[in-house]
Amino acid sequence: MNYFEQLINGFGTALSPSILIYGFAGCLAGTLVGVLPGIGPALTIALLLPLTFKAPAVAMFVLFAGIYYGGMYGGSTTAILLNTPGESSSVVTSLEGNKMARRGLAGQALATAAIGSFVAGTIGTIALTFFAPIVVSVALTFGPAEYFSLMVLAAVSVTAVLGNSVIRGMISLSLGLIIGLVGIDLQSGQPRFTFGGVMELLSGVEVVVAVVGLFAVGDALFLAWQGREKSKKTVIISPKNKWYNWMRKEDWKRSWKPWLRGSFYGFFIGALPTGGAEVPTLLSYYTEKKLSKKPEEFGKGAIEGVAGPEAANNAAAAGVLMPLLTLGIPTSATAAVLLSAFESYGIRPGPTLLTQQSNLVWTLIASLYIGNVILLILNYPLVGIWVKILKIPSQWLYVGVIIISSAGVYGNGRSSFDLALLFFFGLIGYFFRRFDFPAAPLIIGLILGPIAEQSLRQALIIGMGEWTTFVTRPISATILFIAFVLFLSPFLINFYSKRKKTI
Amino acid sequence: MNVYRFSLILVFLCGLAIWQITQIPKSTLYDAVGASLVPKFAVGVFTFFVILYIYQSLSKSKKLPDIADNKNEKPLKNTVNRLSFFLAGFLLFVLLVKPFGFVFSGSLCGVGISRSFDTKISFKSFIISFLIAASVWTLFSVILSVNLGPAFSFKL
Repeated sequence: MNYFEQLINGFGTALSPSILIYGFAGCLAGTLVGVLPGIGPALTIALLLPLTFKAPAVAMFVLFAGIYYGGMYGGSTTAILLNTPGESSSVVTSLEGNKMARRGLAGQALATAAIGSFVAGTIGTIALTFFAPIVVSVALTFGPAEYFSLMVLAAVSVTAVLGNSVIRGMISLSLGLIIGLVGIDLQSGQPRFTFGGVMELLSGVEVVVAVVGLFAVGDALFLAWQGREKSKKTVIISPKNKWYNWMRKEDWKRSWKPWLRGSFYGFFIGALPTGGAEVPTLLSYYTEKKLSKKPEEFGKGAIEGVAGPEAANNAAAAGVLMPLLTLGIPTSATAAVLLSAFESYGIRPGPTLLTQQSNLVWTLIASLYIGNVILLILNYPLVGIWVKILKIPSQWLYVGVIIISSAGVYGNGRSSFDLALLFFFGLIGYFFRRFDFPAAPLIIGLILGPIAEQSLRQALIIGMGEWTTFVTRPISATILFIAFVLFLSPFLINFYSKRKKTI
Repeated sequence: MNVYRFSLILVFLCGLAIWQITQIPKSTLYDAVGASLVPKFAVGVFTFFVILYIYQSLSKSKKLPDIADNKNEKPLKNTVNRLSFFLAGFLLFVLLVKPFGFVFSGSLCGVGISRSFDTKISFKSFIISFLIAASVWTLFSVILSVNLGPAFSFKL
């Protein structure tokens, strides 16, 4: 059966009523968490991990895909109406989107964001459909040495490229690695970092505890420490301004090219080991600013400044799935949690996933197409509801977040120790946010650490214990070289910019 | 808390990690990569970058970021009070969830957290927290079949 037939079969499964309900629930929940600041798709999926023991894999991954895509859509609504980006990838959208809303163009901003998200999400999914099998055919030639090098590249590039400081990024990554190694070593049976054999630590640290602690508890602690609530000045859309009138002919004309350019940036940068949606959204914004026929509108509310970054943001979501599904390498916190969800089903993402779990993968991809349509339909009529939810006083919003987070962790094994650990990660999350440490490298280190160790061992066994195996194999050596250059690049850029200033 | 004190926490974590490395027993089996090799590497990298961070924090040429120094993000007064209520609420939840059940301990936790957001401790705040905890318990335990234990229990 070729990939096209498998995709059609995937549509058959994804459109069955029971799976469709999961997809719809995922999109709804994803949009909600995208709207709410401090709660993102990574956290939501982590909270739902205990359910993986109860529902079939296909249903849960359709739900997770809906949450992931929904989160990307939802972030733009609050960025435009409240100037409060729900997700870091929506920060750029708020630059122009909120200015448009204040000029009375909220409808246009929301419409170009939603349609752009739909267009980019669909383009990204089409690209994923066509490129995933190609990447798989290349990845099938990879051995453990290449995999280990790829993991090094992913970890280093996420740390060095996305954060504000390589040093803080590396502290976060190595701390994640150490936490990922806690527990019994499966190869030798030796306990590691278990403080004299603390029973609860022998099985390692659950990903859900780390993710929920870092993001939910950490964020709530930070806001409690700060003690100030940002004013929520909502832009109201006139009820006379019906949603189907939101996009005028001129808006379509000014939006379609940024949508396409944003989709291109988003997918291809999202699919790189650096991953993430922050870089492509910024790149898209500056490209649109440069190419715009009305550059003077930038900073005052230019529609291109919303259309491009929003498209890039959504295409990046599809791009991030590419290394995850084809190589088993997560390049964002959400992808890392998704990898953990695969593992809880005993499924190892990688090149063999497309053949061994073809129904799951193609249903997941088909659900992304369907999810885009669901989200487009959901986004317009529900804008008013999302805005009302944000009016909930922050103290009760965070009480809800903490109790839901505790339920997600406690429901995983009814362990008070896990709750205490949740609080420990909450403290790390608070310190990280306060002192500007990135949290994503910690999550990636935590999940990739044990997998990388496994690949390292396999590579050395195959290479008869020779460490040179990583540099004598051409693909592995090239990947390690790129990782090395990426690691050094922030230092080199810093050095040259300082030198230029002195000259 | 400032950057220097946070550096001390990182040094403490380094110390803990190094101590734990020394506690990994030696394997009797031959293995190309023993149980302690990757942990040693991870702790080495962690220690190296913590030292660089401390160096940066002590150097006068570059000021490391702390949100408390940012004019627009500066915390309001009584940070210790607010954080203490948050900690107390969470601690109560951890200690009481087994003997008193999810909803009661969750309600107390909610009161502590809402107090940390400057809401006065009152019967009203307890009732709202109780409603939130009860809704979450119903969602997880009844609808999603996640085992959160009993809503109320009195086992001491």
